[in-house]
Amino acid sequence: MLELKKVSKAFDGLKAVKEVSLEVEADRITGLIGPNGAGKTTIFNLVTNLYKLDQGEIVFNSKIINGLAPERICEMGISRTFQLVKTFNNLSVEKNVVIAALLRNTRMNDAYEKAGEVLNFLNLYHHRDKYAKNLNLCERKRLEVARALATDPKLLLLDEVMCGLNPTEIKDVMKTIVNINKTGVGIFLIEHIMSAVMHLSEKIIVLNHGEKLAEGSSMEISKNPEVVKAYLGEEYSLVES
Amino acid sequence: MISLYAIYWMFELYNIHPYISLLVVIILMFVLGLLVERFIIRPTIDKPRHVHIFATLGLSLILQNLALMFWTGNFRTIRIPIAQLTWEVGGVFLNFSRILIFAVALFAALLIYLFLKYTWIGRAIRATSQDRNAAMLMGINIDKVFMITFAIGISTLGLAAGLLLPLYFVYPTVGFQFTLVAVVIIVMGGLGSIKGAIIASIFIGIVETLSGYFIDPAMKQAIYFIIFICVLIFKPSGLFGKKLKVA
Amino acid sequence: MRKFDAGIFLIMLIFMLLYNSNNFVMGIIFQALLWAALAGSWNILGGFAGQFSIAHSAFIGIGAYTSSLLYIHLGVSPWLGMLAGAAISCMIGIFLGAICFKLKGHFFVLATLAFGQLMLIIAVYWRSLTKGSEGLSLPFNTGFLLMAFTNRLPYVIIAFLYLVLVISVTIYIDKSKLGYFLTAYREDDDAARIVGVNTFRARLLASGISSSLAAVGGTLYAQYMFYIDPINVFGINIAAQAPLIAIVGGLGTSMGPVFGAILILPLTQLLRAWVGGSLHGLHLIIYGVILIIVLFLIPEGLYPRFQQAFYRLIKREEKNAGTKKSVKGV
Repeated sequence: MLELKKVSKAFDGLKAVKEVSLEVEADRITGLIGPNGAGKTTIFNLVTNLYKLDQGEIVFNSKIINGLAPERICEMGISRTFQLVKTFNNLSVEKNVVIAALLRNTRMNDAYEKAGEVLNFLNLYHHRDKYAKNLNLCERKRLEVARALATDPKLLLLDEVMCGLNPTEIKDVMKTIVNINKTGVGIFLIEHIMSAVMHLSEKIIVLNHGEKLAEGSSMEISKNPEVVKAYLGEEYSLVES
Repeated sequence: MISLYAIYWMFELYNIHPYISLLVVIILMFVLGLLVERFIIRPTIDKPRHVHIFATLGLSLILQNLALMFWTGNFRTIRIPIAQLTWEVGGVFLNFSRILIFAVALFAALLIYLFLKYTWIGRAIRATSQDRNAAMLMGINIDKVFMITFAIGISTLGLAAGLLLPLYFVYPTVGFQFTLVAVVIIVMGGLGSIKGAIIASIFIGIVETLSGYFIDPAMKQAIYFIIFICVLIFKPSGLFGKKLKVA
Repeated sequence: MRKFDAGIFLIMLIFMLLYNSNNFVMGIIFQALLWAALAGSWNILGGFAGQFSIAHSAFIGIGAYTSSLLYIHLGVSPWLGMLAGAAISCMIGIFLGAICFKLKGHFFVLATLAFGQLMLIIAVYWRSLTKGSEGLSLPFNTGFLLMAFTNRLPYVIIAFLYLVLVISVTIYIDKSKLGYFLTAYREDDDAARIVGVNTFRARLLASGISSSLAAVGGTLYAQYMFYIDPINVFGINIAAQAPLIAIVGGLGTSMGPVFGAILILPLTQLLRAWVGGSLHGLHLIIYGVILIIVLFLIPEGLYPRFQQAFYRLIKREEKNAGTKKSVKGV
């Protein structure tokens, strides 16, 4: 469904992404992992065209999308969340989602209805009148997911959505991700919580220093010596919990 | 405007030659810059964006109208014999003070460039502009950096004023035309690039003079606005500026 | 409309009708209403989207000159001239947005400043069209179709209707898709685009609306003064006044600009009348000081503050009334 073909991006001489090619299948959950600075978020920014790529091509459902405006890409079916939460802080939770829902539901009433559904699905409905800035971190991350979902995406990019959460919250987010996937939305997630990624993803892609290091099922990845080497010295456990 | 008036009054009241009084004015402006940064600009950094922009607008309103109130709107200038000195070279008239301005401006630009590149404070300024938080972690006092940077900028106005007054007039809203040219130059040269600013200013100076001669002296100002608009349409990041993120 | 807003309108209406005879006061009321509307039109782009333009004078001036020139040279009724001015302003507003919206923060503001002053220069030097600094005098023929009156009351009424128009548009936008998109842009441009909002297009639309409404005010001003010149419609003082009033009153709120205008205009007009002769520019200094004070102490604007205070007062009274009743019951 989503294909990156030899994509490269450099910042002032520093090569963040070097000729990376990868594929994300429709309706599945795919993980993107790698040590800090490997280029994972850059890939997300390239897919949504918040950064312009230097080389290569990004294809989504057989259409070339690199170079399209971010809002066009959203219209075509890709939504994302941000690593550092970017909710509309001075607006209400409900308004945050309505703005997103207006993409496919042009009438205000329909948009509000859709927003209500999504908020319910993510257990945020009772917060709908609060200002986004007054939610705690976990709730704001959920709000970002809600907002992204309100655009009826075919592919959802989640950028470290579990960062900063405690184990119970992580289990909840994992359940939510599985539920979202069940409704037919493909998921491409960046995550450092190894146990979660291993558990959720049917395919994992590993990045290191801007290059694709390996890809495969969670079993294959955890046994891959290169991958283990890349992570040596870091505290993350590669063993399933 | 303030520096121009300062130079003017020092000459009128105390008969100090502008090329000398400008040294004093530079220091005065530096102090003024420190105060403005500390009391008007710093409090607005954390507030919503419009506060900063309109606080400075309010300040300029106040200053301009204080000048209007105390010194009236009359155009004033001073006559310095040495500024009238003119030579004829190959059919072109070269005026001493303009040449001096050009030389001093280049020299000052070079000084500032060297300052930023080789002194400790200069490096602190560059570091802060690249990454504020990292600079703080390295022990740089951000507040002081902002104050000094702003003050340096303002003090160069003192230098410019001393050199310019013999050629121009001073009146309350005189600063306006310079601000506009400055904006055009900075956008054209590209944000954050001294090289770009120098090249852009030379370009604009040439265009302004040529268009004044060939087209219509009155439309001089309009010309560089038109250039400005063209730059905005075709290359908003300027000639040497950092590229904007989105396609 | 909520109680507080309704209260403001009621007070305004009363003043308008009461002071029918005193010309000077009517003049102040006219100015207050006119500027409330102009500030309100600025607010559409400045408040909702957070795009602070100081080119607003360009549109006011275009409106003023368009209707005046059409009237003087072709005898077109100022009412129609007003529509023409609005149409031209709309297009130029969209053009301005198209080239300047790519600039960030301060540079956008400065670019609009440059644009606004470019208009001033054009107006001054295009003598054949505008008679330059001499200005244009409008003939004194009065009549409804000519939007010219001997009495000040009709002007006040038209200004009031103009204000109602601007406020209605503002409220409508506030609740519409456009309003939502603009505030989303203001909050976080990247996040807005990522959920499919075309922030560029939204801002262009807002700019067009804002500038066409401003042009209407320009025409009204020209008709009231019977004279316009470049400095008085394109000048920087005019350009800065609309944002100033909107900010002091309350950025992004529908009634904020009204509040700001009601507070500031009478104050400065009176000042000008008392000391204007000897101390030029004093009222502008006061403007500047008020602006800075409000910005530092009450950045959200006076209207939200007053509104909060008003409602708190009501709640307290309701609470007191409630306790009295229960004591009685016991």
